[in-house]
Amino acid sequence: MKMENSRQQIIPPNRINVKAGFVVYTPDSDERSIVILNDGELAARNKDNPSEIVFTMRPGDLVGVAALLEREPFRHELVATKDSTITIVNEECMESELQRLPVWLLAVIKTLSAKTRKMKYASRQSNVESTLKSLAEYCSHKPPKTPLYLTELIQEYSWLTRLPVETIQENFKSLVRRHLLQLTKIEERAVCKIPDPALLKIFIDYQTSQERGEPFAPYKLTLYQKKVLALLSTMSANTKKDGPGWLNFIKQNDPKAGVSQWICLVKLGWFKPVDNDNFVICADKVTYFLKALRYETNIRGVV
Amino acid sequence: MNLFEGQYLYKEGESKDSLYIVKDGTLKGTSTHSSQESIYGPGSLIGEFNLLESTPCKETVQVVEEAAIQEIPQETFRAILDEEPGWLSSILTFLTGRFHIAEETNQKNIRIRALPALLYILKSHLEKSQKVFLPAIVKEVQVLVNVKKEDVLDLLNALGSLDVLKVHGDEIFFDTPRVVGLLYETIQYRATKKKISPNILSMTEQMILSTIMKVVRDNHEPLSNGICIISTKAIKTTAKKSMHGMTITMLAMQPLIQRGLIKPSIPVESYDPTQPLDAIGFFYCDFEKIMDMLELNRIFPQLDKKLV
Repeated sequence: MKMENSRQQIIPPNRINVKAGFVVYTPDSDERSIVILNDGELAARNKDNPSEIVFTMRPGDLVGVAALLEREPFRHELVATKDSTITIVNEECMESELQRLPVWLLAVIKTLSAKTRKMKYASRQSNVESTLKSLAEYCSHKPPKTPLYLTELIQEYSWLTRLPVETIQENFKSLVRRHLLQLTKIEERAVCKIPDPALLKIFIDYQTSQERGEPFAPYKLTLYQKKVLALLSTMSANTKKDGPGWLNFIKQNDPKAGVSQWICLVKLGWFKPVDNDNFVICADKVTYFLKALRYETNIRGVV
Repeated sequence: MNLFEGQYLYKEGESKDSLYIVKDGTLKGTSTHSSQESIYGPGSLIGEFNLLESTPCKETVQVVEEAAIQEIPQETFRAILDEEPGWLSSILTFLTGRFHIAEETNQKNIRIRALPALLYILKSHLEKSQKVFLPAIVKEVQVLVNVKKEDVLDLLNALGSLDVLKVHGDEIFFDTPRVVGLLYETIQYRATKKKISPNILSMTEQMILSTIMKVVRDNHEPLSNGICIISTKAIKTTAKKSMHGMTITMLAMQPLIQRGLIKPSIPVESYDPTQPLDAIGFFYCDFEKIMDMLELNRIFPQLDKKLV
């Protein structure tokens, strides 16, 4: 019985036959509606230039959904190019139909619209999530200790990432506060210098560890490992020994050192294998760890 | 149905055609194609595309907090649609299609917008070293603009198909490394100044430079510090053959002189662009610079087409 009442409230769509040349819809019209082509052919044409056909509709095609459901403007004039039969679903008809639908189906329609809107919005926005890390990456590719005009840096970076200038300025401040960048003035113009791009790279790795909730390798070294690091930094990178040889060498400084410690050091990347099971010091990695420790307060941002 | 913490509603790639409504609790959706997580709380819908299109699940949905879920099977949905006018089904199809178009456009935009970032990183590496490694490039582009690895690889493939670079294993090789920097500058100029970069040459200018290249190559003479000297007579003779009988005039040479790509044998300030070309004994130019400019002008017009 309840269903019957509901059915009575339906406002049926308007099905009409039109002759070729009939203008079905014009952008000047205040009334929004969905136009479904049942039979014949319709053309959407540029209102200011009617000879320009934007698209042609075949039976089964429909237009005006976005205009009706999302108030998006429909910019084209719709005209019948052949004698046609069309169904017009206006706002009242649509509303009456939507009211009868189960709530979840209505929610599906709304979700589809919302997701499309979100996707269109996202398409215009920056895709960068970790803006500070991104700026550090950008700056790490600039020449070190060279004065670079801040406005030009911001302009280039903004173009690359589509981030708003305000966000970029905040992030510049954050890196300057950590002394990873230096700001000065030359002839009244703000200039930026990158003291050491390697520090920016360390900062990026630190931020990545933080995001993943993982400890940052240089900041979880044991006292013993720090001592070995200091020792390795004083040695020539060409020093070549096999595994047991390096273990013996480490044991000279710490008699308790065992194979597990040696494996840990290899995993940290401080040694790299060369010919015949020999290992040499990986100078780049040792320098990386030393820098990370030396500038820990800058990297952590507790300056 | 009730699901407990850690249980899966479904996994990525599975075939499901039901819609799920979260009545209580929390679930999270993860995908191998995205780093972002979706969180579903009370009132959220899960699997609307499974219901509408019967496509394989695009994410893995796992319960975070014990959840009460209502399942709407596809049969229920179909039965309701059968009772409704046909146009409702058309509207749902339209809305679904519209979402996919928006999704595809968004993906395409992200990829196209990542090109300058990729060129920026490649340029920076090439300025420091001849060796450029793929994993480092992918990682740095991802940090800079947050794009998927596949997008970076797609862009590298597009550049590869234009012979800008070759990816071999973990290394990237370049025939003309300076073109990468020129491409970046040209795209940046177009985007920031909203006009065509002076690096982009007209067809006539390109033909003149090609003629000069041909003269230099035919000469077989060693270059001094990369600088080549070409007599006006040789240019004119070669141009007659290679430019289909076209005559090179001083006026046609002028834009190239102004850009510093070729230099007349007389001081620039004392030459008159209206005088005949024969008044200049010879021209000289940086051979590699000319080669790079021609390469840039070959690649640049094809770039947009390759990306889209």
